[in-house]
Amino acid sequence: MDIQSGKFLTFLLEQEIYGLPIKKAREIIGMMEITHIPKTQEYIKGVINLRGKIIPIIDLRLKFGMKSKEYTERTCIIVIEVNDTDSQRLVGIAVDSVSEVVNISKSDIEPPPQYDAQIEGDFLTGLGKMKDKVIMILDIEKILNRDELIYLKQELKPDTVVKEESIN
Amino acid sequence: MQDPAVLPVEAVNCKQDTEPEPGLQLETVNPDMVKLEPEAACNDFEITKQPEITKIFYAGEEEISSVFENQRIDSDTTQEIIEEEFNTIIDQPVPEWELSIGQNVTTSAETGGTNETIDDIIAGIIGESATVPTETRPGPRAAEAEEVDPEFLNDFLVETKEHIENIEMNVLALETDPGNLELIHGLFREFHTIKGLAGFVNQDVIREIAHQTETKMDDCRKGKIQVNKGVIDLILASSDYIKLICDNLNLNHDPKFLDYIAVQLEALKHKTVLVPEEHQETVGDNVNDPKCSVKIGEILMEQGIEKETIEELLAKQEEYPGLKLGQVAVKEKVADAKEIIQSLRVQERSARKGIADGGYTRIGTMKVDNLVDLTGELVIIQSQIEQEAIKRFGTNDAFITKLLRAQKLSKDIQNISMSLRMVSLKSTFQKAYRIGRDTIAELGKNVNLEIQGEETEIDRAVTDKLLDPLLHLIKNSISHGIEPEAERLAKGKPAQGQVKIKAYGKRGNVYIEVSDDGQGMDLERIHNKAVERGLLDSAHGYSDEEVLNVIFMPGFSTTEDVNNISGRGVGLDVVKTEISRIGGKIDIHNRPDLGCTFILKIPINLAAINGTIVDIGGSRYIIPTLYIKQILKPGETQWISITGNRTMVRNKDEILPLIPITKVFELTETELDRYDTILVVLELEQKFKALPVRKVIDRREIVVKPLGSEFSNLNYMAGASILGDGVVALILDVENLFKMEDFRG
Repeated sequence: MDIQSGKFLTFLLEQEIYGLPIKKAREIIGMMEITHIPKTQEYIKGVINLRGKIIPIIDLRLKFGMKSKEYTERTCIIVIEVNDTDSQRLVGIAVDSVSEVVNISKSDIEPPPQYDAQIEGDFLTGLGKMKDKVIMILDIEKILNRDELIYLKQELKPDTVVKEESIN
Repeated sequence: MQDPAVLPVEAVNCKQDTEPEPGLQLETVNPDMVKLEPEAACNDFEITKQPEITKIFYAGEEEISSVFENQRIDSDTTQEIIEEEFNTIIDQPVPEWELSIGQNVTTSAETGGTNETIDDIIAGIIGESATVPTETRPGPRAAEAEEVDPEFLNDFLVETKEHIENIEMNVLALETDPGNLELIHGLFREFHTIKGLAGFVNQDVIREIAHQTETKMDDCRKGKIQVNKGVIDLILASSDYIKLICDNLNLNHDPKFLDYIAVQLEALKHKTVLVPEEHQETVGDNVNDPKCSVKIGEILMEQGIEKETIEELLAKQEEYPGLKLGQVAVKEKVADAKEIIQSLRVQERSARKGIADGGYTRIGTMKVDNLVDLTGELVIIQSQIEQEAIKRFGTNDAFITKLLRAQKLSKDIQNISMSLRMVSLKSTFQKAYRIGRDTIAELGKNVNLEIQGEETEIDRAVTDKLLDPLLHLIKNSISHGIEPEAERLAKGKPAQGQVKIKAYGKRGNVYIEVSDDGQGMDLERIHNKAVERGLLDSAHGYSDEEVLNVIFMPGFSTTEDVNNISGRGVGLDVVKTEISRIGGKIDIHNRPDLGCTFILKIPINLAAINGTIVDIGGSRYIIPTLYIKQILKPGETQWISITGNRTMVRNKDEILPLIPITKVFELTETELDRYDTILVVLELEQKFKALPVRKVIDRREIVVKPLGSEFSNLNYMAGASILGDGVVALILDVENLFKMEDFRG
């Protein structure tokens, strides 16, 4: 995907700096009570009430396969607007902390490497070079794409079915 | 789950049953009329220009009504009644043909049609009204295929109607802003597209009409002629004719109609729209809807006709089946046709005035949904403030009194915002009726299709999703249910089959029945087919009900012959899925050789149910109260264990299986407070299951919200709701919890 220059919202996971196009972020809210949904993947933390709308919360650390970390005062939920082909929905991502909004011009954005230790290279749209740091620019829509996310765990494991049948 | 179970602890406060009719708070006029209001608003949602809304249109009513119907802001009662009446007229099931003509009558007359023309109309009406029953509806469009691929033709019809819809939206904008070149360009392009499409499917009449109009529009955009009333009338007339033909391709072969169109086209060239002289039956109202008749009556009263006379007319009306009140009035010489026309014209003018004044607002669905969400939040926050304030100031403080008043206001706003979502089944039923009739004609069957209870109101979100399943059931009844005529006669049945669609509201649900007096389901045949397809085990004995339920299984269809009515690989399983998606369920009453009835049960308001909040393993969940039979605290001796696990409980003479909550809720045994367990006994279709909970917290009205498409496969959760403290709680899907046991055998 071609990445445009512009404003990026940056946030931290561990000590790594990630960024996403600011226009994708609807709002930033502090951590609030999350209702867990049974039988969903671990990185689906559950759902919250965003002013009357129920939206799912994805823990980005867990989604990227990083260690989980207790939520603190600094933990934030970034509410992302995801445009599917037929509709628009909101998804919240939990990040360690939100840092700042930066301007990155196109010439300072490098294409992503073909492989990546933590994240599948697909999820990166580029590397934004700043004076003293590099910002990993995420293709957040892709990460939150319904097909990419596996919301539910496997329904019934085959062995339990067998076991139950043998009882009868 | 037929009745909401009453918990022994307290009386169920079922708000659904006592909730005021939507819209009542809005107005104090005649309630019958006011009831139509939300629909008017909601029709707009369907056609609003919001990009996210998919438009499916089969007919003209919506487009035209939408143009005039809107949210009412002023409070001139008389005008409202008139507008309401106008809306009602154009909402009748039959009149797309009549309406469009009627509209021409008024527009052209209004804009300089001569007296002579009006007299002609009146003569036409008097002539027609006495002789033409409402049943002379245009025949099926499907009979017309020419040599064009029916699929192309169908696409063409759908697409053309979409264009016509755009045209109608644009032309009204053009009327208020005649110099708007963009609109003129837009209209030109629409007609141009229609012309192209029509040429492709050999619809020459439509092509010609579109061509003529396009030429005029071209003149307009080049500045050769000014956009005036005449041009607007021309556009409206052309779109009406095209619509008529789309709805009834037989008109292509109707020499009278073709002659008429030819005359019109000639006239269009001279910028004058002549008034059609045929099919002038649209006076007054449909006799099938007594409520509406009262209303045309009221308009007549406005015009100085005595109330008693109107009542007499209403009584007389029964002697003239198929006639409308206006027609009866003419026949009984109470009013002459001129007066009736006049009143119709008054209605249209006031409706038009509404647009010009900007007295109405068309609202997008999203906005209404947001309003509902936000007012819900407002009510929650306000009750939190209240609790906090009472703690600080005590209940007698003046501040609290004011706060409570504010809270009452927010609740009112919440009720109103929820009522905006309600809509009558009218337009859904009309579409179903039309397509049903097409099906009958296509199959050449002798079937009478009847519709009842179309005034029943339901959540707007449901109506969109209801049409497909409903159509499926209707087509199913017509094509599979009703036997061929000879067979019926041999069975001693009347030659004509009956298919009836009936809707009514009961206990917070809307029931829609599709019944026929056909052959019913042949259980043996279903059984054999199911075995053949591997859906049932031939060795196993099944109850009739179980066999019957097979028809809802994917991959089951008993029709060997694939026709274009059914047999597209889409079976009743889809119907069932669709219905359960909107929170409904489907039942069959089968009487072999007497007929079959499908009963759809759909929650009246998707948004609100009575829920019981329970604590399961430390989290709060909501159980729809209507599934709860009883709440128990069993003694130590009542438990029944199998291999060390408690799996059942004995309650008097019954043995209740437990829902395995460790599996459903992913709880570990230690999280389960085993020795302090309360059991919620759930009932579904005369079966009982016990759900162990830690405690029962509360019972209240809750607003159901979807969990989002991400969780659409989540089996045991039916949605979520926001509790009084603003936290989300999940709503249990009781039907699926029961199925889980069924699955285990």
